[in-house]
Amino acid sequence: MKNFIKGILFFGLLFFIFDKLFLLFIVISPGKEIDKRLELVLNGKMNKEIVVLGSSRGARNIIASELEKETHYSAYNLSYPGSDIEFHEFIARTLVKYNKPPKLLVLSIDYPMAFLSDSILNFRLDRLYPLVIYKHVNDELLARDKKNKVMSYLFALHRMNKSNFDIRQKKFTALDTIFQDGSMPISFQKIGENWDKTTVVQKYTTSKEIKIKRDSLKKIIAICQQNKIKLVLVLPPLFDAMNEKFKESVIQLAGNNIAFFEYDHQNQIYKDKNYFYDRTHLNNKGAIIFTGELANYLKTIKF
Amino acid sequence: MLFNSINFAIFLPIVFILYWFFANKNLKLQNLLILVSSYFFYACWDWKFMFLLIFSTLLDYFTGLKMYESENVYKRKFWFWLSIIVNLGLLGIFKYYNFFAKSFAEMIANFGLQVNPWTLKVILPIGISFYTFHGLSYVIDIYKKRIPAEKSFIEYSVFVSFFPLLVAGPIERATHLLPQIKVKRNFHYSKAIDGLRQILWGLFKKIVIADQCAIYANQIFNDFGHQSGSNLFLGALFFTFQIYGDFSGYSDIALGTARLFGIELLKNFAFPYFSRDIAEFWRRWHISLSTWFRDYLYIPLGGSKGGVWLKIRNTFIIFLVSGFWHGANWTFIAWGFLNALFIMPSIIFNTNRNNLEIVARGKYLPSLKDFLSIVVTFSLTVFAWIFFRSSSIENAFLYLKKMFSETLFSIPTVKPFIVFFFIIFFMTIEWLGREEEFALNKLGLNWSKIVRRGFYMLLITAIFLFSSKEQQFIYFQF
Repeated sequence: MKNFIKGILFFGLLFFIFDKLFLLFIVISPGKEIDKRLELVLNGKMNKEIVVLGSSRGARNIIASELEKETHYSAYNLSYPGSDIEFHEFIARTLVKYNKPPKLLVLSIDYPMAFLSDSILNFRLDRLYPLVIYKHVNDELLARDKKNKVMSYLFALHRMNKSNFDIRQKKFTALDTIFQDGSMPISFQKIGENWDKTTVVQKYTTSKEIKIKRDSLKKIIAICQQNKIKLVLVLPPLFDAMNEKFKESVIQLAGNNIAFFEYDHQNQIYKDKNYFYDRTHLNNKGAIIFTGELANYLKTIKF
Repeated sequence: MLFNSINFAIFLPIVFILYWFFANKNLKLQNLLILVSSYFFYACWDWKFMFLLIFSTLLDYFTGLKMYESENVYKRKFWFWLSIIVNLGLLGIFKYYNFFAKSFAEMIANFGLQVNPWTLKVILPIGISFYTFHGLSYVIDIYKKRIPAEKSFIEYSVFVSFFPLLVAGPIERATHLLPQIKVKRNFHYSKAIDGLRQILWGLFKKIVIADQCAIYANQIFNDFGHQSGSNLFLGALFFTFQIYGDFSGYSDIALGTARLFGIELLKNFAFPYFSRDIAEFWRRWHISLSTWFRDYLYIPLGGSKGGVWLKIRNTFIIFLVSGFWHGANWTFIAWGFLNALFIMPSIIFNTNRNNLEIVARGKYLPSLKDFLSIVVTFSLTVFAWIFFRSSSIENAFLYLKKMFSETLFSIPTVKPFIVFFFIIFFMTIEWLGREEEFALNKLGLNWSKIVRRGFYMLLITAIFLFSSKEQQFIYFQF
């Protein structure tokens, strides 16, 4: 019996020491990332006056440098392709915690899946794991029940994810190149996109909206109010028509005090495929025009 | 309290130390400690349902005693049927009432009549299917005069509630477990080490295989309408490994934990995915349930003694009941029906006991014939799992229709290479250990201590790396 207990304790101690070797991966991981935006936020180096949040539609359709040029306020894009509104809330919360709050927050809202259960938009955990060295990031993983608190403090391995083992230097691809201003516009068109197919306007039912996602928008609004940030909700253009009910739902949820900007429906470029990358994202040409519209709107509001 | 939780990692060493250091002096103390720990373990899920467990234990204990003490046939029958009706009644209310009520309403609706059935808003008490079957086997065995009734309530309660098997089996038999409970257990170093090894392998199966496969299986099954045929094929494969890793992983942890306390539980899995026909698969998958149905349903119905038609009827009955045991949904019944269909050729041609020997015993590789038989049997089980996993029969057919479309041969978009790697590693270890009690039982015993410990450490590394907040075991819902 004594031998058994001794053996277990010895093996446990060995493993405890072995585990600490993996701290090296935790330390190395952030340096291997090509997308440094979240790390800049965590290090308090994101002191811009206008910050854009959103998914790929925010990243590709809104060019922060164009906003900067038009409004004369410093601007940066913190939109992450494939991210959902919960992730945007996390970014907003992290931004104000470690940086001087921006004057204006532009939040791109995804039609129609912003508040629905959707497999395309997720909380981008893959952006968090490489940065688990930061307590704030680890705390977020714990809060989201991704890791166990005690285990995560005791064992480096439990903090990590398989992505931490990929210590190759990450590189940009044509589709996800991040520019100096954090934006990710695309100058080409998606191969194989069927531009001629006819689509019907999708039905939108608010009963399918998920509470946690609706609450995320409310939390973003609360963050902005507490930090005196002007919030502008933006509905970027799509090649296909949208259901008006979605817009009504967003406005109802946000309240009438929150600024809401929608693309110009009369503008014919939003019906021209030459301004789109695919049916749901503008290309660089389209993004410049849409950002111009947005900048003109921002100039009319006080912040 | 889940086996893969921090709470269990604290609970187990405490009970272990108390058991071997303070309760090892006498049998009563050992059993009392196990009983208290087991009730505590169960109460951690939901303390209110503990009373149901105690009630079920008391019922079977007293009806067992009454039957055993009475020579009067009618009295014995009375106590027997009382236990059967109450046990199955409780199971029926908690597990099947809503299903029957809704199915009845749907059936009536086909005739143009509208009924709003009164449904229960209760959650399924965890482990009810398992401890009910424990109790039933005990009562049936006493009624059939195979065993005497247990006089000690504590010992009988330990038989029903022993925490490693309480919530998801294996479904024990009084003839196997009670004799072990009735003698004082002594510590055996080699048994305890074996137990730890089995727990380690169980955790690996659950956390590294099942939980990782679950991510992709869920993603594909929940959105099957937008997936290519090749993705759907992968989804079915992921679920096949998920359910095996999950349930056999749970069983390994249960058996390993019991061994730490000097108790041997019934083996529940014997490398089923290396089976060469469906009959062999069912001798190797959830063995404790299959043998339960064989002994308490198939044989009493006449078994294989009454000609081919009786055999066919009885086989369909046990597979349909087995499917229904898994849950109150037509998908489980369809899964049972499919398995009955798959096993039919071997029942009709009397080849169901052809493959009793372990495949390729003493060899590294199987013969081509065995290999092809394994591939065919595995494919049939994958096919059947689609029904088990789908939310409705209609969805299962839609899933299959989409899977067997022209996109079946397209390049899948879901490519988690790390999961593929671990599945291959897992199946290789299982193959190497297929002649043993569990895959890690003898593997590496002739390696040097450093290499062996290094291997275990790598397994633990993978477990830690993939462990997130603990995920529930699939079979807990049954």
